[in-house]
Amino acid sequence: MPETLFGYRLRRAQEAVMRYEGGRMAISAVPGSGKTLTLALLAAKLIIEGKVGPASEVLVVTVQNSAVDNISQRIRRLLTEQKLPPVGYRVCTLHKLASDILRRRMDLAGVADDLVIVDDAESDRMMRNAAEVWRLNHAALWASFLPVDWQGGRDRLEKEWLEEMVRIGKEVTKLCKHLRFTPERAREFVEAHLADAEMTRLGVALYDHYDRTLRARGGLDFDDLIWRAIDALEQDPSFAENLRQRWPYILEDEAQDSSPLQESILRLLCGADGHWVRMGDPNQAINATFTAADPRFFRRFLEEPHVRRLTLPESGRCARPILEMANALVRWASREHPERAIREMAFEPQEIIPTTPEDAQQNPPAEECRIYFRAEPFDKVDEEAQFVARAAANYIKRYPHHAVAVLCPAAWQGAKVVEEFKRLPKVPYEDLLRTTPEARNVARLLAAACRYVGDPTQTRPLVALWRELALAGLWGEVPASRVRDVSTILRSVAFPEFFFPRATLTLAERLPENVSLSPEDEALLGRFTALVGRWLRAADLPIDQMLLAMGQDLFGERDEDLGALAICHTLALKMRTLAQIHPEMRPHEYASELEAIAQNRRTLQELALPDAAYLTKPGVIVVTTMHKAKGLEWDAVYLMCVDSLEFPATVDDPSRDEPYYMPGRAPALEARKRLERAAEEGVYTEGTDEVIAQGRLETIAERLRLLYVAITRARRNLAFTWSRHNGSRPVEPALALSVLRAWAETARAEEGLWP
Amino acid sequence: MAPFDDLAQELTPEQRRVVSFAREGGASLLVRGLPGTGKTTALVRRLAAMVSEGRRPYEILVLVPQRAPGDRFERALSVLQAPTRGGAEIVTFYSLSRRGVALFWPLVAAQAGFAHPEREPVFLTLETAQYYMWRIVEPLIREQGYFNDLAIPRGRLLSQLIDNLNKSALVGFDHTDIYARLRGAWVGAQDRLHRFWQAQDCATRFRAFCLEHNLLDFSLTTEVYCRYLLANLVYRRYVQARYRHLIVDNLEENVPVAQDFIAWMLTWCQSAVLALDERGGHRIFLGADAEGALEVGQRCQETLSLSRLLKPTEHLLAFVDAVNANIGARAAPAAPQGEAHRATVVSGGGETRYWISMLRWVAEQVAALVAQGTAPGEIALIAPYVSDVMRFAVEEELARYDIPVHLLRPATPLRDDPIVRGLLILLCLAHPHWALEFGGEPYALSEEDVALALKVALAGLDPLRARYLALEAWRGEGLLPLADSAPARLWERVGFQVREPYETLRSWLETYRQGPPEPLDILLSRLFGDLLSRPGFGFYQQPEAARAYGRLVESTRKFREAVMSDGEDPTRVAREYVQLVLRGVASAEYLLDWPRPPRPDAVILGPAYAYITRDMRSEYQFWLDLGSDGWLNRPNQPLTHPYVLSRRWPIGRPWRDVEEEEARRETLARVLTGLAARCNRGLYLAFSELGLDGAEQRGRLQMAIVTVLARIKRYA
Repeated sequence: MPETLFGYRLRRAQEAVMRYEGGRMAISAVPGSGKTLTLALLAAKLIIEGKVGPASEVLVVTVQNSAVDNISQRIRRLLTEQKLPPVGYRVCTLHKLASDILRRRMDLAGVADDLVIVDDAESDRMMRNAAEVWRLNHAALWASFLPVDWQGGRDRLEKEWLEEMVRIGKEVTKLCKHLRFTPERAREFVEAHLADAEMTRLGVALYDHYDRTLRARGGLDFDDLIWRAIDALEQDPSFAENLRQRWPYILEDEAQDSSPLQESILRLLCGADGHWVRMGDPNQAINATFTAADPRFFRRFLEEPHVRRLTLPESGRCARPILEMANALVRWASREHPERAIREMAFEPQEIIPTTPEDAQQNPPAEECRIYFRAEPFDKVDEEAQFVARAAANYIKRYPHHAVAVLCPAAWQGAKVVEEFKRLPKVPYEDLLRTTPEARNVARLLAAACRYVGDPTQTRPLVALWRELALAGLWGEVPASRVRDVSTILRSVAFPEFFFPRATLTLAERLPENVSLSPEDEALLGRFTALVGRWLRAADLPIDQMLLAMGQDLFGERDEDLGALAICHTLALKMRTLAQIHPEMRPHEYASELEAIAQNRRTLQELALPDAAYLTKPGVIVVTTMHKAKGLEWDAVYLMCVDSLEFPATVDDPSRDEPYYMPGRAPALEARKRLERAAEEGVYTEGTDEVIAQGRLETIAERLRLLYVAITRARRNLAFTWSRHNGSRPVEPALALSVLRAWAETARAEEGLWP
Repeated sequence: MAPFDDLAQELTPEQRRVVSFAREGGASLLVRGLPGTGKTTALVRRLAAMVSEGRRPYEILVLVPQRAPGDRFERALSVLQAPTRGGAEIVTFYSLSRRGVALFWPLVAAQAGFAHPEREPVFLTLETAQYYMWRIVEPLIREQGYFNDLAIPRGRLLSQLIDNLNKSALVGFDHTDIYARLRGAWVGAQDRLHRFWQAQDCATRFRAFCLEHNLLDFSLTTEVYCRYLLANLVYRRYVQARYRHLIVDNLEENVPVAQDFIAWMLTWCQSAVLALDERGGHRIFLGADAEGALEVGQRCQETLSLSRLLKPTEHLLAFVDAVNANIGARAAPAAPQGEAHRATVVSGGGETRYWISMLRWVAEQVAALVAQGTAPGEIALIAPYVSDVMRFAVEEELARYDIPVHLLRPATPLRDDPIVRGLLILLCLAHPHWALEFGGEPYALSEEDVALALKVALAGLDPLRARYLALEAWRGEGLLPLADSAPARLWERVGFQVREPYETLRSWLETYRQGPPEPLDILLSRLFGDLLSRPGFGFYQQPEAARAYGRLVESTRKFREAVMSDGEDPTRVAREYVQLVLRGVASAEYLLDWPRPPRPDAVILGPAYAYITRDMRSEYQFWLDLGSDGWLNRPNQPLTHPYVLSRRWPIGRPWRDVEEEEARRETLARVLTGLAARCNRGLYLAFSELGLDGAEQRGRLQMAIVTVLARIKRYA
């Protein structure tokens, strides 16, 4: 009979976790195994059992904001049920933790309290600027990398090389920050050890320029934030010691995604023999090449002495055939992958186990499960997109209560599916490739408000603002006729008298004489004028404060708007960064920035889907990338472009890291790998081919994990497709796809896994 | 609290003792007590009594830590029917120093090392000091990579560098010791020490530059006064001949060199009464030394403790004592007789989830109090930090109940005041050839800018009407004549009453543009007198706005005086000034503080620190944002250190996080006690589960208050 804790029935593996008393523990958890709940239960248990003193807290660190809220609400509920005050815990993201540490000791960290945190978009802009400056100053050297007698368009070639440089700059910068190399230190190091590594040298030069620009503006990027926090902790051992007393227990979620920097900060907070529980799934580490997180760090931790290892192998998310297929992928990669190194690198050989019959979460029945492999490839992604869109549309018609997702390796492929959906009649879909509709809605409302406030004498932006607000659902359902009527009225009023009447007049008295108002119109118009008048008065505030004030008016007081409030806050911070860097910006320019987000032309990288208020909705097809799908699940999932370019199998496969104009080279990869090998392992002399091969092995392993993540998003139905051309490049099916297909045929025939 | 109450109030026997305390024979008295025990009232009455008795006010020196509290003494004197005319000296130590140095300049200039003792000294404001400091620092940053491991904006960098110099002067150590002191307390890696060395280098260079050019910033003025003038026999005799009586209020908020001065006066003056709040010392960031104050106070022959508190205040103090104990502050209870469970504490916690709901709750409670007869001016809303969005939201919420808000704002950059910004744009319109630059980019005025300027300058314009007017009035350079040419609808929209003032303003500016450029302060003063203070213009009967105008005029004048002596081109100076302010350099208010007398009809909104250091007092206080970490966080800065650069900190003793943590706790405890002691009746606690950004708040203060409230409820 399974044990219960605070009313929750525990799985056997969870029971083991709850027996935790202290020390270091690593929990390797499979997809859908209930990581968040387990962490919340453990935190509550530690508090209830009095493991933390009155001035101390259990610290729970997560990656996403939405997880913060989720865990924190759970702990609060558990404590309240036990008649305890909701104290003794703190849940936050690692970034929030780092910025709180900085704010506490700005003296140690060398920052000011109004520090500018530069987001990824702005940081991209700065790196592009660095690349352009470098190009201007080193024109001859710059051109020497390019083929002399290129037949194609020279402009395009130069443009792409510049983009490649931006990548080089970003990768080297990121790596340097994780190595905690200042530009000076990086330059010295490269000159001493890697004089022949031209790409690395280029990267370091870009890092130097980028860093100067950033500092000239008093800014920090996300990596700096953590670096400085670590630095502050190291400068004063008693600082770390005080924080250790405050947080005697650290519970970490998504540990596989922690970069070395992030790991160091927790290591410092935890101390040599502190209590540290790391929960993660090494097989879902898919952010490695983006964030310098690498599963090997979490795995290294797993191997440390004194670390207790547990697993949470049970998952009720997927139907058994899907779960078995994911296991088959792990088995194949670990035992038979043609690149021997991959057998070690890609996966922890851990299997997902379906839940027991008495478990609260039952795997969907195998009979409901379908796995579909498209027998014939398409020629181009366009055709593939057309097919997938139609298939998904048909599916949702048959199963209107199912949630469906189309997942692609890259956003441009998904965009083609979205195009197709637009052509089809009445398909309920959401485009989550860059942002969520929720984030776009918030951006659209704020953009409309900024547009009007920036030019308040114009009728058009006012009417546009009215329409946005009326249709946003803030005032319930506003019928189209009423939206139109009020628009007409707004076109006829004299704004000054209407918004700022000289005498005390009722709303009706402020209207032209021939206009009559229904009581409903009057109520709506009244609310609208009140808001607009207020926002015009708020126009003197700095942009972020103005947006926050608007956000409070729009989303300040309803639980269902909490996500919108968080998005509004993110947008306000983004605009604040812009304002600090470009002090001459005007409201209409901020409006344009917000419109770019609203119109889905710009991404909000800092917001993961759940943080941007996305919730899986039945009856809707979602189009997004495999990366963004992490942490989410759908009844049916379509996986597109499962080909040899996206999921390479050997180091000789064609690879995205190799520019067509530089055969045999992989500039960004070389730049990063040479430095990484030299700095981390003391390997200084390596040929280009060797580092490229190593880098590609890492990519192969990571892409396999990406496929694993994509597969395990599906509860019941899963479909794979691919095309012979990925963009303009001819490709093969991914080796893994062929392997899985063969496995599926055998399993279907021999094991009778599903009908 | 009306200042005249001081003279009307019935005194306690203790207070009467202070008033009648001996006037002759070198008598000295230390008066101790919490805020609200009537120390200042007693001092004011003593001053009034002494003047009424026929003593020459000229002989009496009243030392206050900052200008604001000095008001009470001055107003009392101004209504007094005293036989002798002429005011007593009611001054801060800095104004005493400055006046002394200005008057006795020839006596000390050469000795103090000024390169041109024969020329007049130029006193710098914070703005002008920053201007010169930037001229010194900028090439060092650019060419030698100074401060390249710090991520701080330029304004902050400059203010920290200047702060170091000020600390050295106020504490009384040599400015070349800044490095040694900061280095000695640093516990981190040695390779970080270069930032302190660079800060030292900037201080040394700045000082040398000042000596070379006869410039006296705050620190040099103080240092010349303390080190040279006070050591000069001629000056000492002058002081001894002039001042016979000493009255000191808020001794604990004063700086060490001022306390030295007071100690010296105690040795020879006829009478001295010093008032001290031993729970004070809030101005530590400006050099206040509470422990030093106690040492000086103990040199007095007699000590008197004032302890009579209002009962509700006493209970509130007991409540705060319990909170402080929970936070882990070491201080002994401030009100051992008070009973925490009897304190009037209204908690809005628990029910409030959202930040804006918290403010709505506050507005409702305020409205209810006002409806029951409390004057809005007797209600204070206090937060650790007042952001623009908080100010805006509070103003808007209270506007629903027709209750205005009086904002206490310490050290705002001039630029942040829309009135100042509007005036600067008017200046730009008057000087179209300026070609301003903003962050390296050319800055062209926009329609929004012009609309703001018109809104500020002309009466009866809201943001919309101002924009309509700007639309017609401005096509890229100068204001256009609109009397005949404007579309008829324009004045219908904007209001016909605006037409004439607009034309007057336009032609005034036009006339000005024809002539040679004037210094900005003179131009602004003329503009005010000729136009803006008259009916139809923006400053007519607008004392609040006129105050901002005054700030700007004074700031421009001081800037000109300081910078022009350098032999600069006047046009360039004016342009530089406008650029400097538009870029947001901190205002001179920081040191000279511009107290605005609060209005009785407006609720006060301000940060705790400003409320306390201006020695305000209210019937009801609301503490906002209790979940915020801001209550506990100290603005610790990388290049300066208020604790380490003090007399309490021996050179070489490390400042670790243990000390930091303790300083944070003690500061918070002191703030809470300071607040509760200034509350006559009831305290409202406002928290929201979620912050402005929708994220959960879990500040330490909130935890402590929740715990104490739970305990009190059980007890009650």
